[in-house]
Amino acid sequence: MKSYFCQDDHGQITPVYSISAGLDYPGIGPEHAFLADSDRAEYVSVTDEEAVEGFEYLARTEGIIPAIESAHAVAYARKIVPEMNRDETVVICLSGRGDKDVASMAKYKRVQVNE
Amino acid sequence: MNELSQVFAGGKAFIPFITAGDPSIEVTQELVPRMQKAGADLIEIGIPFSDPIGEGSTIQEASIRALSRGVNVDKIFSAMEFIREFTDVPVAFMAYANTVFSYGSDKFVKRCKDVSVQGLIVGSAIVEIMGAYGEECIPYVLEYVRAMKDGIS
Repeated sequence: MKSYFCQDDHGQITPVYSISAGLDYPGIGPEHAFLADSDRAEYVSVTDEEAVEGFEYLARTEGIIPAIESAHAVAYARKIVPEMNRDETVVICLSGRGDKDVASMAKYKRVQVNE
Repeated sequence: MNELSQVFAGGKAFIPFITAGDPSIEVTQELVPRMQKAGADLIEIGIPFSDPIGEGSTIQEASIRALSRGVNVDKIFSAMEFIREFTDVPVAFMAYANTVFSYGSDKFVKRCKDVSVQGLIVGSAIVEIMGAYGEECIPYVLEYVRAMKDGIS
């Protein structure tokens, strides 16, 4: 089974980084590779900063703390929603809860917490 | 009987392993003829890979050292060309599937044959793509060695 990976010209896997532990990986699951190749899904990127803003936005407005992975989806939704009509519907999948991310979020925001 | 099988014709064989480019490609070029003089029947040369999942810590560290010195597949093939001016000792490459795949497996196998590499071990190749490697080895009479069990990728 093949998939897509961040790699150099010689096939060496490149070091990667993400604020989200779940996304701190140089590849994607083969199912995503298949969905992309068959034009059934489109993939976009979101920065750490945008994800943090998405994380805080959902917590503040809905009282839901999304996993930092899912906060990337919130961040992208916030980018496209202003261009959409009022009667259009957006579904965001929150694949996990963000309680686990509060400490790393505090670290990112340079807030002192007692873990 | 192919060349790799002949290595084992007398029973036991002495097969030292080195990682290409550790600590430099020049040292690799020196080591191969010296290992032959020391009695090596077959020399296994590891092609360093960023994610050496099939290795213990010693070879992992060797791979990191080699990659940090900028070694790559083209430099290893050039080194093998140089080595072949001095020695005809049988050599097998130990590579990871992505190295062979990204280079172009047909081109990789052909270059192995060009520099008289008799064996190719592709440690991380999985069943679906492994068959292709095997077929590409056949026209060049390169021995294809399967190292890991199915399901490890």
